[in-house]
Amino acid sequence: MFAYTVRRLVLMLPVALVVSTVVFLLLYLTPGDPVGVMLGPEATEQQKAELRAHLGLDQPAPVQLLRWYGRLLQGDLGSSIFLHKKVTLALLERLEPTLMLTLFALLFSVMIGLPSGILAAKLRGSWFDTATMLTAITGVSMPTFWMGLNLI
Amino acid sequence: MSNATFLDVTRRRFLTLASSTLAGAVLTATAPVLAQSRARQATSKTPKKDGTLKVAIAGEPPALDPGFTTAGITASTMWHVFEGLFTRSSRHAPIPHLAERYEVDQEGTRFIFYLRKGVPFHNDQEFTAADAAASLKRWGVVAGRGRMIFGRVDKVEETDRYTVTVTFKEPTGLLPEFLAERDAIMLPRDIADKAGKQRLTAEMAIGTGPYKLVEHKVDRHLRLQRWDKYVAREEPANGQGGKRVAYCDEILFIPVPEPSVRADGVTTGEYHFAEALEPDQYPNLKDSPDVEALVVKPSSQVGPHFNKKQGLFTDVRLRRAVLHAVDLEQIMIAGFGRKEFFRLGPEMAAPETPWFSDVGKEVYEYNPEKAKQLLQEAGYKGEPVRWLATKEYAYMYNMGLSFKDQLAKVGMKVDLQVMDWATLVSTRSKPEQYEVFITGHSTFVHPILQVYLDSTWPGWWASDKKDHLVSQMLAEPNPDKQSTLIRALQQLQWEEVPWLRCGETFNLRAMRQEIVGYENPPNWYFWNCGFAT
Repeated sequence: MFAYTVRRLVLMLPVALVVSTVVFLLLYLTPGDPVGVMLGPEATEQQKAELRAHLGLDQPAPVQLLRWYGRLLQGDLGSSIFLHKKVTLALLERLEPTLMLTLFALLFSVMIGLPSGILAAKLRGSWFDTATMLTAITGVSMPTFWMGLNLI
Repeated sequence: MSNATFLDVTRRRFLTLASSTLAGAVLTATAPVLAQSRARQATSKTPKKDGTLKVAIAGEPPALDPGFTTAGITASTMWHVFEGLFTRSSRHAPIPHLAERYEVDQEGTRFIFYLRKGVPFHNDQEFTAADAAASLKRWGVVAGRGRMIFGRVDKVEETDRYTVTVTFKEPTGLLPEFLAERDAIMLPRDIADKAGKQRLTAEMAIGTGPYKLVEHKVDRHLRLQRWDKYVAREEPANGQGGKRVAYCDEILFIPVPEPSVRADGVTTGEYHFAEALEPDQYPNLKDSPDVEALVVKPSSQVGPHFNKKQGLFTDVRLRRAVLHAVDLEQIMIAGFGRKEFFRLGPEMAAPETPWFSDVGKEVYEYNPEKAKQLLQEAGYKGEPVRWLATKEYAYMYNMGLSFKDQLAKVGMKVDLQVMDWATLVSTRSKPEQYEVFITGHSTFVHPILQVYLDSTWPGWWASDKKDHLVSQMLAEPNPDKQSTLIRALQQLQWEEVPWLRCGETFNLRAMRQEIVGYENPPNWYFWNCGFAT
């Protein structure tokens, strides 16, 4: 079990590396100029050049990416331009509601799913079995956003 | 303008049809009630001090600092929080705001600003000359216009607790025009010094305005609250200036990128106000009960800018040929659909402003024969004109199509290159990649504030005559002499045709009728207005 966990964790590294590089490239290749959006339509070229240099956007793509990896190794994910705060901080702020939601969802599904599953298996072929199956299939096949809207 | 694409026809048509059918049915059923409610509203004109005003804005402000970004949405939301030494009257001319009054010497080299006393910032500190001097210096390093002015500044001094003196190396009589712009904000000294070139964060958004910032949730809302200790000027309201009263308890600015959602939100009562709507939403809004469709005049002038640095249009004869080859009314109809939404004319500033002039109207003439002759003289041999267009701002694409058709008739070949707005903005800075792009500029500002006068701005209008006029204007404190210079500049614009001003277009907004006291200025604001009693 221990060896398995270690192996999985080690295998995650190249995956994370590839995913982050692809995401970076996608953002880099997307047309448009973030500096232009930030400074607005009437900003001068000089202002744009200064902000670009300040954000490191004047550097070639590999340099930008390597710099980001370098900081990542030190636990620094950079600052969010939109939120005006550290990305790590922004992630931590979202951690609590995310955990609450997933844990409660898990709790509910186990509390309802497990007993009804056992009961359905025990009463195989009965109306209860069919009803449970129907509910489960409906739940799985319906897109979550639609289900959510209907439950409000 | 909006981000909606023009070719979104099927959905829009369907929505229009569906909503007008529905509106028709509702109208018939509710006509007597409606008449009653309108009559009731007409009787109460002074707003009550209560309520939360919900305003649907076109997008998330890219920053909260109008000095840092030139994005209009930042200035329009945050000028409820920040104020400047000057603001603008109902005629759009600069008038003192945080300055009580000012003096300028004959040459326009020394300005003395006497500040209003007892004005508190949102952190309870009093606004003094030290704050004003620090804020002016910050404006001089962070904002584009501020940098331009500070290139001429010799020194900024606090003469006493309530007096600031600005001394120039060369005459700069036009200073109040620049200080009345929304980027010249007054901050507490420590914040101005600390921020410097960096943009202000939400915690640093401390101004003297009638509302203070209490919450910013990115992509959700910007929440402002009435600043109860606000000290207003004593004169009656005059445009954006004079007495400002905050009637609403709170203002919520909610980013809603889709224009139809903004308009529907006002119709259903989810929002009280929506900006930047589409002309084709006008009939529906006009017929909606309890909603007012507001056409904004003056607004913005639009037209194609020529690349004058490289390629075909370095030749002024070709630029003039385009001017004569097209019927501008047709172009404006293509761009804006309804005649309520545009007007033609040669002016650099709208008739509602002190800078209006009709100089150049004789050049502004539809004459295809003359165009053909000019093309021949310039030796044009059917080279393609790379014309940048985007469907994100529908008018840019639609006007481009109309130009393409009309120019084909005189033998000019337009290659309409459609791209997204962000790509267009970066492409237009590359002189080797295009000939023409269309954009818009305000019509309610002094012509010197037009960004295209800067020869480094895309299109690159480099002209000694223009530079000379601009520097004369900048120096001139006398309004009559200013008018003469503006007329000369406008004349030059029609001679050198750096861009072809097709006309002026008007913005559309929608507002619930329970809001009273709102003036519908070119840049909206919500002091002096609120809910009917």
